[in-house]
Amino acid sequence: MSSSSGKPSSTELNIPLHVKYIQTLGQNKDDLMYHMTSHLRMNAIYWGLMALCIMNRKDALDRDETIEFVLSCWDDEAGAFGAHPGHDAHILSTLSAIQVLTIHDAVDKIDVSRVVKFILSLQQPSGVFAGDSFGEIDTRFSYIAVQALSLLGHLDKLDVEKTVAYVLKCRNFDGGFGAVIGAESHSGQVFVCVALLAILDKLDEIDQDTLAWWLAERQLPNGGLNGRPQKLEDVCYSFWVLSAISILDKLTWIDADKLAGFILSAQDLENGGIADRPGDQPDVFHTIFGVAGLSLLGHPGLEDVDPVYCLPASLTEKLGLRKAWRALPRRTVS
Amino acid sequence: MSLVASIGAVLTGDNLPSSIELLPGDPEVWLTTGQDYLMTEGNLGIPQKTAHKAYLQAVEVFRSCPSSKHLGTEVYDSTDVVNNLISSSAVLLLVNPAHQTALNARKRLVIAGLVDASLELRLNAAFLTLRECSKQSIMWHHRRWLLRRIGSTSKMNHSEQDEDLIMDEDILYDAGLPVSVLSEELVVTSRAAETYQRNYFAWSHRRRVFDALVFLTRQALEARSADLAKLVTLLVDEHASIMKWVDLHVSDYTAMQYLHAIDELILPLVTQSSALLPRSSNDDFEDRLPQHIQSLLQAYPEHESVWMYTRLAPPRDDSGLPPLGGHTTEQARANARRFLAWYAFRLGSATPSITPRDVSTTTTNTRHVMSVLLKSLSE
Repeated sequence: MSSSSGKPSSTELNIPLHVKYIQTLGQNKDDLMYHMTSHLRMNAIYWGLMALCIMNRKDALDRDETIEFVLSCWDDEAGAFGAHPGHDAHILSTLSAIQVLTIHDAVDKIDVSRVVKFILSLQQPSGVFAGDSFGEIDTRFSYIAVQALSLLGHLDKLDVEKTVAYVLKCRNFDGGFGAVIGAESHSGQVFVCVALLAILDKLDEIDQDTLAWWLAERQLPNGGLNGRPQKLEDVCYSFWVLSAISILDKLTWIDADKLAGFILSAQDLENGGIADRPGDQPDVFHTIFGVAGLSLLGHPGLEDVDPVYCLPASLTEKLGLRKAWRALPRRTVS
Repeated sequence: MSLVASIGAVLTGDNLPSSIELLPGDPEVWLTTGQDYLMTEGNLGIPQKTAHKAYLQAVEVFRSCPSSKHLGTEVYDSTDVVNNLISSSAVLLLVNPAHQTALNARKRLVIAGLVDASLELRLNAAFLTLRECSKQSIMWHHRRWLLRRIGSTSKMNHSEQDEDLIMDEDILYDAGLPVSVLSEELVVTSRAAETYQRNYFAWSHRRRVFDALVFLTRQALEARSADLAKLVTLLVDEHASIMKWVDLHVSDYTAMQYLHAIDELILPLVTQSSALLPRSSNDDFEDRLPQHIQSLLQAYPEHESVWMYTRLAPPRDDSGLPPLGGHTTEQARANARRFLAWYAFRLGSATPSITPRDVSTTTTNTRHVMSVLLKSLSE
């Protein structure tokens, strides 16, 4: 598909440009956009850092400054992390904080037992997890709880059966999963449910072939992947769908070349970063998931990504957390 | 009056707007000097640039307030500070409906009795007329949180037959909400679905509202209540109304799945209360969905959604298979091939290695795969 903006489509990932893009994020603190995204700043720090790790440029953001920011988001009343100083603790920002500190080998700087207590307190009688004490429930939060406990080495404290039981109730006739019981299948929710089951070694509880079919059907003629039937392609689904399908070891069901081509065509080759689709404005969210998708597709010059955790594979291996999944073999630069 | 205070004021109190719009272009195009917004017949219009300016101010005001966690303590002793929290949190959410901490402040204000829950529900409905807001899961959860506060706290008795209703902590059927409130929720979700099609959280919310209506109807059936006919009619009308929605939005697969789910819940109630209902209206109820699926498939075979709809109620043998040949557009033919491959996969009559990719284009390989599939289905 040729880009409508007239820019040449690329077959290469411009790593230096994207590194620079990430480095300049958050520099313009007077920007409206900076203030409009404070509620997800902690997530954005993780997205930027993880994208750099995949591009083997973890050094491009200052470690001490990053750790200092993470710690400044500690909500002492809750015993967990908010997205920004002064923001309330939430499970979303808490996981991102743990992921960032794990990447920087600085988990010793936090009160792990309090964080574990916060996470466990969010499990509901039905087995699902809430995001905070106000009780919004979503299978995303269940996955976040499982990943967080796993990274902190406290997975043994989890009521696995109860956790899995709710996830299985979110399974739809098409083999996919929704956010809550009764919600339609959605690629993002499929990812979190599959990854959760992978961490808990419960993948045999689901019909993997039917799910793989649903996932493979997300690919559109232009190579991009969508989140639900008859919706538009979006680069972030390159990760949600691809990681789920690589956990199910069915990556060959996707046309890898076409998908890689789609992701690469969504690069902003002037200012750096990757957008949701060609011609749109880039952002750090689509940058990390585009790069992670390319890594799973074996794109040369990138580090391996663990699709279960969306963390460097070398890191999860070191922590003894690697599960069975298969990405495409890494191609070398010709 | 500061911008935050003036916009905050129109989002506070009991004269709330019923809908909100952020207006494009320069404020001067819309407003006269001294005006910060337009309000006509309950429709609030704020120029986008004005809203953004207000947002940046609200960030500062919100930051200057003590954390809303301290509401109800001596930290929040002055009405000025409380009003600052009320205005700034409302303005923050108007422009950034994903601002979790601002929404938490709203909940704490309700808990402290400083904001009325019913008024907050109305404000939330106005926010939900904004596209960006209607996409936020936290806004819909806020709605159900408020509804549960407004409803009665006595737990209802549910029986074994209610196990087909959704059972988790975010339900509405045990809040004792009257039909009028639940009907209003259907209106709110319809508006949101129009504003942003395939709205994931709006339809999920609608399903939970519908569960509450089903629960009320089952109770009425059990108690042989005089309300039974009215309630069953409401359910059947909802079914008809969504069927019509799908006719007007044939790519709305989310609505199709909702329709299929409620169809299964309604049928037993229609059957059990048939003595009370006008004879002609509901005799054919169980045929409606299959007929609807058939008619859409014939009319719109280029839409992937109608083929997905067909999968919800696939024919049990190949005598009921939709016409797979004779489609004129390449898109319709691709959809038909995909349906056949999926159907064979589900029957278990195709080898596991046939994937969606194998039938997506008209290559030699696809033709080969198709002949294998057709052969396997006729055996």
